[in-house]
Amino acid sequence: MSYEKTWSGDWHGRILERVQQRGFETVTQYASDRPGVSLIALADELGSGEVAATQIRSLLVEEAIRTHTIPHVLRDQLVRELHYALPDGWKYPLDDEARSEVARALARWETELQITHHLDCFNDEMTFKAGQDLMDADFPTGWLPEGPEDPVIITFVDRCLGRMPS
Amino acid sequence: MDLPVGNGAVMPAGAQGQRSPTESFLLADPWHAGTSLSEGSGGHLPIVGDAETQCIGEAFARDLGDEALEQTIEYLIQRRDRTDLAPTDREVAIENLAVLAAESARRGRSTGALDRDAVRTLIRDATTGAQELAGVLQQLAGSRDGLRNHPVTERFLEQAVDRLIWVVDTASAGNSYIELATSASGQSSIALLGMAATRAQAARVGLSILQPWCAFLQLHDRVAMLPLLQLEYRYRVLDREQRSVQAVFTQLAGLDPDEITMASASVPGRVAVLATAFDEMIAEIERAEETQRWALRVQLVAEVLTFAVGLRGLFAMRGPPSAMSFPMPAIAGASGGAATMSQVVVSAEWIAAIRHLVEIGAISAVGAAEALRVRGFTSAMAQATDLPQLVKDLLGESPTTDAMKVTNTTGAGAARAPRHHVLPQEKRKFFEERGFKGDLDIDNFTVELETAHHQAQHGGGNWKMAKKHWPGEWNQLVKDRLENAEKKLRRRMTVAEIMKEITGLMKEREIPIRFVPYRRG
Repeated sequence: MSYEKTWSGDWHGRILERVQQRGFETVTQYASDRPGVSLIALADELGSGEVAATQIRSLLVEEAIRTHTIPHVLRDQLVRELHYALPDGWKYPLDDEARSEVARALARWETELQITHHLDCFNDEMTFKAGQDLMDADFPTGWLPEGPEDPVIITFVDRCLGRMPS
Repeated sequence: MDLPVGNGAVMPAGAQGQRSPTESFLLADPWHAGTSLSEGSGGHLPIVGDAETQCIGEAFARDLGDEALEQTIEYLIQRRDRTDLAPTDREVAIENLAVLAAESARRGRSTGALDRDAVRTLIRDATTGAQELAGVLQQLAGSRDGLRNHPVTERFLEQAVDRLIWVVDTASAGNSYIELATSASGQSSIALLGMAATRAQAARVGLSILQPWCAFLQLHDRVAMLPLLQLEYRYRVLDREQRSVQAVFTQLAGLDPDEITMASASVPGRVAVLATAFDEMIAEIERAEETQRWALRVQLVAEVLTFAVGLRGLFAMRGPPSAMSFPMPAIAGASGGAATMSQVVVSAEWIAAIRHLVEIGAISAVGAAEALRVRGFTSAMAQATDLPQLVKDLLGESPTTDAMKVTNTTGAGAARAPRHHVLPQEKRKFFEERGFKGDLDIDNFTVELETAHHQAQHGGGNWKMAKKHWPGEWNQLVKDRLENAEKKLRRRMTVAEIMKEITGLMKEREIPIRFVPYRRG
């Protein structure tokens, strides 16, 4: 039973150990080495059926809180969700299916961080508006953010946090 | 004896102005109405021009991209199933399909089209079995001097018809899940195909007890035509034996995979009991014949007994060793008994479908072993197939051992793991409005998790996060995620989109994506 195995004992320690075996000091470092890769894929890599994506996210958030880098982890997560939603990249205008993928990716990103990980930094109204703008954005065909430092992502997350006038 | 024989029997419909429920069912021909097994002729795909008319080689298959491979497979499956094509064209489709299936296996990724085809094979197998039995019931319904000559015995025929309708409906319900699986992907798709396979299996288990039961009814039908045995005696026997049939169908009704496996495991024993009752009936007929010879036309009794020998084979068709040791009916001069040797009637296609579904994880090895066993498959027969070793091993064990395994994986009886709705009950209306009703009722999407056990074992600490998942936190998460997505999307989500999100949530938490029906109490 993978569920029992995944959640039993000291899973924090277990994941950190596996990350360190791969030559990284923190889970953040390990994840940063693979920008845009989904947490599900990272969980499989660290131990298929033994590590859950949500556990990795939990550790990433914990580390971000400790190092005061919450905006960075938000951007990092968003990039992964967008890659997962549109593996072949952007196509303007988004058709109904692609639009649905992006909308759901944004919803996953927002609700996971807000509800599961209790990050209450989102400005709900701004987040909604930024999301609508993103779905209507005229990005070149095949576009995807490269990583958390992508300017589109920086601007987007800043808006969600209410840091910039819309 | 002047009985209508075969499916071409003329229905005695409308003679009295109104049809009995039996007649209405038989005339309604439900499997043609509700069960669409082929997906239409489909359009012509430019990419498969070669695959359509000539045999393709491995090289051709290797050159196809993943998507083209999937499309070509799907297209060839449609061609294979088209009855309007020349046999040679369909043979080409079958051969090319084998090449592409091998290529798909080589790439190590399961192909949705092949996965769905495997489940369709199971459903088709169940509906074909049901059709055969419908022929028998049709015959019985056409005979007014047998079971139908008295309301108390006619009732048994009507109940058999009701059960057959359940079998057909259940098998057909599998198609809803296949359809949904078409727009899902990965584990979500496999879980949905597993649900379809569960329904096909339930239908099959139902048939496995219904078939000998119908043979039993056929015997009673003949006997009822002669003044051999009293109505009261015949009713008592039918009523007693029908309870066993009822028990199987009651256990199947919940469509719970574990219950189905246990019902399946109980079938050999029940068929053995039914066979004994059948033999006792024959003995009664013989005794009655001796004492009432003066009153009967002896020829008619001989005909009943010869007819019975033919029917007796239906009890031996399934082949667990215990069932094969039944005493065969000892009927004077009935050398036809040799023809009732156990025979296995499963197609290579069906076995291949079972293998495929075990490999992709849509059905469990225990479920597969039970599905094979109930069709009369023995361990020795399985050795000659390319079924997974685990399935072969399980077939070597007794049914009760397997059934125990089923209960053991979830904890026996009352100690079973609680089942949790993945689509929160408190939002039932929300889900109904988006298509989760009927076969897709949210009660059909629950998972087993031993949360209580783990709360006790790990209490707090690292378990804190996991134990919060159900029900409060999980329900909140699902609700917020779906509502948030709909708000952004500015429309309602479809069933397929919701399933994607839910199975994604499950995958992220390593919650096994295996749906079972909700169990109350």
